[in-house]
Amino acid sequence: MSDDAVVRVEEISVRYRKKLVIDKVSFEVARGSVFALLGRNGAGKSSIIRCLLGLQKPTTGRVRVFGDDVWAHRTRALEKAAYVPETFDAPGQLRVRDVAAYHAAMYSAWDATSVSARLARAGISDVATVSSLSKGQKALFSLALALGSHPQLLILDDPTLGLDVVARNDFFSDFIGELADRGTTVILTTHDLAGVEGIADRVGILQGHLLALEADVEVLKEQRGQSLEQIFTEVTGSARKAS
Amino acid sequence: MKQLIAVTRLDLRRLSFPLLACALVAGLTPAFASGLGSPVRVDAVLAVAFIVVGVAAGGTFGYDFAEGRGSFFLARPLPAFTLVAGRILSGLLLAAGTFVSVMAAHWVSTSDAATFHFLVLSRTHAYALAIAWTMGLYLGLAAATQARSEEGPRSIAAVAAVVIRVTVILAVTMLVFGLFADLVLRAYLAQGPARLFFGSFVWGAFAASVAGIMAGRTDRLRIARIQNTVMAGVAVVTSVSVCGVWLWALSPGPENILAIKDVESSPDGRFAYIHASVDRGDPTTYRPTFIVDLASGATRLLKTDPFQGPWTSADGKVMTWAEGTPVFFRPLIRKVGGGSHYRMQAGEGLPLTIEVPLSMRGLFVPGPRFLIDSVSSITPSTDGDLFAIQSPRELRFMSRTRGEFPEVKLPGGASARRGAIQFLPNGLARAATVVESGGQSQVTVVDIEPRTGAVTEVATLSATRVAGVRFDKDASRALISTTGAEASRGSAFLIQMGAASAPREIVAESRLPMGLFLDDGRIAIASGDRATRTLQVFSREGDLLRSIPLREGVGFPSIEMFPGVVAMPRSYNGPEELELIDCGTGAALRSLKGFRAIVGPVLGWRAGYAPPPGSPGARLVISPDGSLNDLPSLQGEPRRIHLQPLP
Repeated sequence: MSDDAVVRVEEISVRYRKKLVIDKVSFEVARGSVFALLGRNGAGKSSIIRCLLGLQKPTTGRVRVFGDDVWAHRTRALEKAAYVPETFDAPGQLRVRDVAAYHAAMYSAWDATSVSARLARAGISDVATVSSLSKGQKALFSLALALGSHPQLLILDDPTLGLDVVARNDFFSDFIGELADRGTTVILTTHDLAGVEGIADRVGILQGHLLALEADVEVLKEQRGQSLEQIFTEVTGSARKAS
Repeated sequence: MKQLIAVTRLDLRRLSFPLLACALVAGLTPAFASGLGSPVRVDAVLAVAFIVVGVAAGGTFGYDFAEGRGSFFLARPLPAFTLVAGRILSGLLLAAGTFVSVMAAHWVSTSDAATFHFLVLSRTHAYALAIAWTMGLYLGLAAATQARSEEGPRSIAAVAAVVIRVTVILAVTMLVFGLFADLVLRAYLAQGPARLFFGSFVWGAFAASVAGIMAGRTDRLRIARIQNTVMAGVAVVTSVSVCGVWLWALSPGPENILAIKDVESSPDGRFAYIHASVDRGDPTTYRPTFIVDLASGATRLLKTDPFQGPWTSADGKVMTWAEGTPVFFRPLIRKVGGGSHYRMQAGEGLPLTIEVPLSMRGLFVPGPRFLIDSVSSITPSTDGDLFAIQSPRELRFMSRTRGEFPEVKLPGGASARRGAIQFLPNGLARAATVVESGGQSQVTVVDIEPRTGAVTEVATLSATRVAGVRFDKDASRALISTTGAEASRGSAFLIQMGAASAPREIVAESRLPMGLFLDDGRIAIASGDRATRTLQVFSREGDLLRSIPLREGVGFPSIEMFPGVVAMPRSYNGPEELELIDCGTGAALRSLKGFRAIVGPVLGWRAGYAPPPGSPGARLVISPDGSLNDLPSLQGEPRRIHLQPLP
C-alpha cells in the first residue's frame, strides 16, 4: 500500500438482504490521481461510492479516506471531499441561491465567487428553482457546488448519465480544466468510456461482484494495444461468457 | 451552529409558504363558522394547524431519505445530529409562524375584539405538534425506505408468509390493545396509563426514526431494519408490560388489600363480600371484590365487573355475578362457543356460565340501545335454576333447564324504576315498580309468573316522590320511603301484601324517614332533622311501640347487628362513630369510635335479605384503618379478621 493514498478500500463487501453486490473489493487511489471505476449497470459502482462517502456501511471491510475510517469519521473525511451525484438530489422547490447558501454553510472554506462564475457560465440564474433546470444545468450546478469547497477529493457518480453530447463535453472540459488547476484527487464512475479515457490515470472494472481488473490506463492500453472501451468490453463480455 | 441554521433555513424555505398560507386561511375559520351559526374555537383550529405542520415537517424530513434523495444532506460534512436538530428547530419555527398567522387572521376577521386574546396555547397544542411531527417523520421515513423496488414475482410460499405475518401482527395488536383497554377500564381509569401506553409508541417512533437516520444514513435497508427493530422492540416491551400488568393488577390477593371500603354479608351470615382498595390500580376507582369465609378468614378474589355482583338467592346458597373477562373479547369468546360472561355458583360447586337474553348483552348491542341494555342485576332462585335478570329497561326470567322465558310487561313499561326481585315460596317473583308523573309516584307491587310473564297486581300506592321500596325477608310486607315535595316532609308507608287494608302511613311529615325490618317483624325507622332525629320502632302491623331520641349527627339504621339492636352511624364534630341502640328499651348500648357497620337492606332498592342478627355477617364492623373486624358481643371488643389466601 502506498503512503500517499487518499482513499483505501479494504476488502469491502456489500450485501442487500440475501443479494451479494460486491465481494471483497480492494483498491487505493493515490493523491492527485484520477481513478475511473467502471462496470455494467448493477455492477455495484454506486454502492462503492456510497461506502466511500460514509453513507453506507459495508457489510464487511472498511474504507479509509484521508486515513480515517469514513463510516466512523464521516464529517471529518467529507470536510476535504466533495460529491457529484448521478442525479442532482436537491429538493426541486428550492432556488439555486438557497442551495448554494446551504452548501456554503457546510464547509469552512467556500469560494462563493467561483461558484457564481460557474453558474453564470452555465447560464443558471440565482433565482431559478432546481426543478426548472435542465439535466445539463443540474449537472453543471452540482459540479459547481462540489468545486466550491476546493475539495482535495472529488467523487463523481456517473455525472454525465443522460446528458447530450454537448452537455457531456461541457462537463468534462470544465471538469478537466478544474483538475488541471488544482491537482485534485478524483474518483468517478461513468459509462462514458471515451470521455474518461483522456482524463483517468487508473481504472478499475467491476464484474461479477469482483474488481476484475485494476491498472494504470496508459500501461493497460499499451500492454493490450486496445482502447479503454475495447478492454472494458472484453473484460465484462468474457466474464459474462464465462459465467 | 452555522450548519444548524442552514438546515433550518432550508426547511423553512421549502415549507413556510404553503403552511403559512394555509394557516392564514385557517385563522379565518372561527369567524366564518360563527357567521354560519356553528362556532369553532380558535384553539381547536390551532391544534389542527399544528397537526398539519407537524405531519408536513416530520413527513418531509422522513421522505428526504427516499431513493436518490438522501445524499443531499449527508454527503456533506454535516453531522446527522445537526440535521435532526435543525429539522426539529424548523418544525418549531414553522409552528410559531403558524400560530402568528392563525392569530393574525383571527384578529382581523373577528367581530368580537373585546374577547380576543393571544393566550390560547396549552399543553395539548405542544402534544399535537410533537406527536404529529414524530409520526410524520416515522411514516415518511418508512415510506421512503421500505417502499419495495423492483422485485420478481413472489412464490406462493412467500405470499402465504406475508399473509400469516400480517394476520399474526394484527391478532397480537388486537390482543394487546384489548387487554390494555380492559386494564384501563377496570383498574386504571385515568389519563396516565393511556399516556404511557400511546406515549411509548410515540417515543418509540421518535427513537426508531432518529436511530435509523443516525446509524443508517442513506442506506435504506439499514434505516428500515433499524426502524423495524426499534419499533418491534417497543411493541414487544409494551405488549409484555400490558399483559404482565393486566395479570398482576387484576389478580390481587387478600395480602394486597390496603383498606376495605364497603362490605356486604351473604343472607346466611357466613360470608362477607368486601370491596377493597388494593396496592395496585387507581386508588380512587379500583375496588376488587373478595369473598371472605367468616369462620376461617379464607379469602378469595371474585373477578367481577365493577358493580356487577355478587347477587345472592334468599338463603345465600346461590350466587351470581358478571365475570371480569376482557370486555373487548366478549363477542369473540361468545362466537367461539365460550358463552356469556355471567356466572352462577351453587354452594361449593364449580362456577357455571349462565346465558342472558340477547337484548341485555350490554356494550355490544348495536343501535340506539347501545349502553342502556346491560344487565344491572341477576337474582337467583334458591334452587339455582331460575334467574331474574334486570336491565334498566326490562326484566326477563331465564331458566338453566328451560331457557329464556317471555318478556315481562311491568306497569309503567321501560320508563318505570324497579327494585330488587324476590322469589316467593310459591314459585312466583315479587317486584315493585315506581312510575313518576308530575311529581307524584305510583308504586305498584306485582307478582310475576316467570314462565309466562303474567303479572298480577298485589298492591298500589300513590305518594309524593318515592325514594325507596324494600320488602321484608319473605316479601310479605313493603316499606316505602318518600321525600315529599319538600325534603322535610317525607313519609314512610307500610304495605301488607294480601291484606285488604290500604297502605298505612306510619311516619308523616318528617325529614328522610329510612329504616329496616327487624328479624322479629318489627320495623325501625329513623327520621327528623339532624338535631332532633328520632328512631321509631313499630310493631309488625305498623303500630308505634317506642320513639327514641337520637344524639345529634346519628344517621339511619344500617343493620340489625344483634337481636333487637340496630347499628347506626354517627358523624358529629370528629371521626365517625357507630352507635348500637336497643330497639326494645331505647337504650344507647354502646358507641364504637371510628368504626362502620355493614349496610343492610336499608338504602333504596336492595333485596330484603339480611344476615340473621348475631350471625358473623351481621356483626361485621370496619375499623378506622379499613380492616374487617368482628364484634363478638355487645360488650366485647372488635376483633380483627385476618384475611388468609385460600390454600
